Amino acid sequence: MASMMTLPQVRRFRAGLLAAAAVFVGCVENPTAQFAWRESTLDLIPEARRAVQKSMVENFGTPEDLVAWERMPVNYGGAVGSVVAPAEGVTLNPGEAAVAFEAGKPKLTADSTLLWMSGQSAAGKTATVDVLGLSDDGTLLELGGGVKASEGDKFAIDFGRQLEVGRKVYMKNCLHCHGVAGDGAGPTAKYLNPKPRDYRLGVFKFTETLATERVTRDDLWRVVKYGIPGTYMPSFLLLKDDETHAVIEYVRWLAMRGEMEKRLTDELVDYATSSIKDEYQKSKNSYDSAVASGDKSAKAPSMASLMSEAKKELATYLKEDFASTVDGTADFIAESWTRAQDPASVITPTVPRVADTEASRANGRLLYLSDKAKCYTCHGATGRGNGGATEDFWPKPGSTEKYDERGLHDVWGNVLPPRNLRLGQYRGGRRPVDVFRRIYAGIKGTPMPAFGGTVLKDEEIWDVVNYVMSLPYETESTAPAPVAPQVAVRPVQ
Amino acid sequence: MHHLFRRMGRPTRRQSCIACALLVLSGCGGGVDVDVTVSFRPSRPAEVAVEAATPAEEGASAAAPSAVVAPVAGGFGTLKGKVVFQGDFATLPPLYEKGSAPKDPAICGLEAAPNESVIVTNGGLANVFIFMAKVPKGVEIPPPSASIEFDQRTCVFRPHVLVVQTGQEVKILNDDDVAHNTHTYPKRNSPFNQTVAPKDRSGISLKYGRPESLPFQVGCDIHSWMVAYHLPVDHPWATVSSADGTFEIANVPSGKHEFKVWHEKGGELNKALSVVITPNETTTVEIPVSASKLARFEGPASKLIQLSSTR
Amino acid sequence: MGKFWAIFFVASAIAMVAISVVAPGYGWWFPYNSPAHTTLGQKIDDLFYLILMIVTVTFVGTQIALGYVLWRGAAEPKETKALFTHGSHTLEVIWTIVPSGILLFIALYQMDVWAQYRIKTFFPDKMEPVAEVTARQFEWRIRYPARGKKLMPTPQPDDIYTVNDIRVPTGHPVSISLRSDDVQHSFFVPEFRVKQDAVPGLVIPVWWEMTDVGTFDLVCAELCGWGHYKMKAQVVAMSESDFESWKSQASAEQFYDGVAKGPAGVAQATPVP
Repeated sequence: MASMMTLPQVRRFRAGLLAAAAVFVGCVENPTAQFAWRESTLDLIPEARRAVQKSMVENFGTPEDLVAWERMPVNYGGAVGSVVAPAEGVTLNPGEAAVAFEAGKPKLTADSTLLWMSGQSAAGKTATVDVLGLSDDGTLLELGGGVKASEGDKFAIDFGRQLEVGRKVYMKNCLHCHGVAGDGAGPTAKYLNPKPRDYRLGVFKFTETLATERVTRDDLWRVVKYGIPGTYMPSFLLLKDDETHAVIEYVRWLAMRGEMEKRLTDELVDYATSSIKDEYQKSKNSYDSAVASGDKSAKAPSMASLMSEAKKELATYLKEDFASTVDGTADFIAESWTRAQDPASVITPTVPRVADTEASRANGRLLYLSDKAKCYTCHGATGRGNGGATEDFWPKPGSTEKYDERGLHDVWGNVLPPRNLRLGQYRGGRRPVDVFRRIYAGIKGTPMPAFGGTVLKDEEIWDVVNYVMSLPYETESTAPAPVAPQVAVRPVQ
Repeated sequence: MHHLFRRMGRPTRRQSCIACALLVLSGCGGGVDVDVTVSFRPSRPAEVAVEAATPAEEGASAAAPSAVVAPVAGGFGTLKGKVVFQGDFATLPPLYEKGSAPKDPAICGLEAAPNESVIVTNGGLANVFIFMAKVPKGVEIPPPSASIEFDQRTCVFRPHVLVVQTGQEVKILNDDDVAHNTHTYPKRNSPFNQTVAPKDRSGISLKYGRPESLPFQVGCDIHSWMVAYHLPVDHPWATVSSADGTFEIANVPSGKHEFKVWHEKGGELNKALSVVITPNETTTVEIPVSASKLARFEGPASKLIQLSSTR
Repeated sequence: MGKFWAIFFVASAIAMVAISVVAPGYGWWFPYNSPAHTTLGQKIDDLFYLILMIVTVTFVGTQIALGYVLWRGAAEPKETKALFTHGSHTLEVIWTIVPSGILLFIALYQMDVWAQYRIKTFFPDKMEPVAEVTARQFEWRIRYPARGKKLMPTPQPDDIYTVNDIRVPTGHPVSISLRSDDVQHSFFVPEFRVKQDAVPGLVIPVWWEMTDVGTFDLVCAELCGWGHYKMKAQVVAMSESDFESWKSQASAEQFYDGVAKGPAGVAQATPVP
């Protein structure tokens, strides 16, 4: 037995067996994680595609090598500080720098490193230096290697820690449904209804912000902690707070990354294979009808010439405009996400909740059935989510066609039944303020419009909230007598 | 894991055991425990920083002009033209007849809803967007005029096509006794989805911050047939063809320009219509559009479904 | 060589007994190395110890007999011819009757605990359900009646909701109504010695009486789908007064209208990273 063990072929055999077992379990096949490209990116002609992919990798990296782009309003983690003039009477030894931290003294570990974010030391490289020590009052930093920083230089200690933790939490808990790139196409996604959110439009449905603003960290916090009832998004209440913060930052980062890719491909849509084919088809149609009508002078279109024309145009575009397009798009994304965190973007009712009385509910019901709010067209006269809109065929934005299936759709292209208000399930939260915000600002990415500020006064929204929130508890004996929804007063002439 | 196996040509007994244990313990948790690096990328890398310093960077610069179209020789001209429809055309029947609107018949049915997707009068194609693709460098862009109105009457968006300058106010009005919601689907701007109260004549203000490269759809989620198109541009040299297909753009800086021509059924009919404008003169162009170019022209619209007004 | 095996089996028996003795000190014993935190759980622990004792006596006795026989056999000269028997009727009867007797004893002895745990008529008197716990893929959703009210079978407007966080009072028996929204799950709180399947379509009462306050892990013990491992929750046992004030606080949070200044900490206590 013991002698057999030493034979190399036996060892090889055993390793092979092990590998076979591993394949069986599915481990060796385990691919490295990758950010899947959008279909619209892959549809671009190779030159355009490469430009987009290069820009994306440069600015956001890959799942194994994340790039923390300072321009994106993401808290990448680490203690940020800057170099200051040393306090009076303090002489700096070589390797020391007088510093001030933005948010208190950080906790150092044995392998803490420092990264220069601006100034001479940051120029042209993103290398890190070891941090040897920090004075007790957090004003003197001792670094491995010389310090060439001047006053005002920004740095971060243990930069990127939060993004790293966020990625880890995400890969463990979220990836199965939401996918590596946050595209909502993880391995389990196809079994789920409703579909997991695709973050790459930068759109999240349940927010506390105004209709035109994005999601806040608080919104994502609530979704991660409490889940979304009625969907497959479970509660992750027992994640530690720092893990929750980290995964929220990672999701925000993924959303910004996805949005960047989407917007860049939108800009380059003229150089998509499908657009060029479409153009060819149109020219061919013209040519065919010209030939049919006996026009001998018509010139047959050629795909090759269209393609080379597009390539020529693209070359000019890439040289002259692409950099500024990336720049402008990044600015727009950064501004939008920053603005969401502004307290002014958050909806706060101007009046406290109107007392939940019979009168208030009755008024809410009238509004619900009125031509002013028209809630019933989608949610149905009885609130079961079966309004007439669910039976119509709706136009598909960005095309001249209609959706194949009846019913309302969201921006992700999924059929979206209006909420059945009698289930007592509130996806965006069951606090009255949550329902208020749904009505005030609508639900982003869906046909649910904003009512606040224009159609309904805050008091009226509260009436509707009171009515809607009473529906799950309404029984046959308590239901008010049915009335037809208020129809127009103007007669047909 | 797979790194481990790749290196393991000849594992010792201990390595095998460790591998087995790892296999069991890890549960194949691929990706979770991979070492990740996070590298820092400054906001504006050196080469971008230089560019950013130039004034070309004003706010919304996605389409910021950097290419020179032609030197402007001073002076302005007028562009006049007509979009000519080539082929046979029979006026499309309305989406629904008077009095038989599928929803809110008492209001929407006051008038028949015209099918505005293809309108041809006297051989001219209406509702075609004609807009300058790139603003010439060095030209002062006049500020947008006062607000423009975007009305909804008898459940039809009026106008069906709208050109608006960035920063210019669009007043969304409602002349009906029923609420509408105006839902935009822009590419570069943030979407807008707001209910407009019945008989709201003061209007809701909508402003576009960034120019779009092509017009986009505007809909109403209450009345499925309501469709319009908006095009925000960051200059005033854009218009839509009138009912008989004619259009006019005044005060165009002289020089050679490229215009885009877009129609809802035909898409981009012309990516770069080259036009030379001479000062104080009127340049006339004719844009021929063959019926077959409107590839997505499906003929009469499918019937809308009649529903009881209580749903 | 033969004596080696005799010594080996006796020694391993001694080692196993020794390990069992030191195990609690190393945390190898009950879940979380602690006695049950519920009264019924402690009775279950007692049953466990009873069985452990029976098993230990049997095990030790068997091992001694085995060691003795092995030793005797090894001590015989090699040439001794083996004695073959065709079994012993008496022995067979003994080793059938004795274990049966033991099993019967255990079965009868545990009936009280079983009945108290499972059969409604043996449940403690004056026990109110504190919450309805609904298992779903992959979380636990909990509904409580408002402070001072009774849990109704259907949702009420003033009910309080939590997710993955069960609060229960101590000091008296409490029960939950266990339901499932989709597939079969299992409500397992190891420290309570409570494990009950949640079956779609059934409302199953599960009761316990806490012996102390604390936070305990709740997991799903029935493979319910690919996200089974995500069904982690906590059970927080609080004193009666803490429980009541928690209810008030939770209710204030749940009915927050974005304007009112409720009790301290109510207004969106979300820390900023």
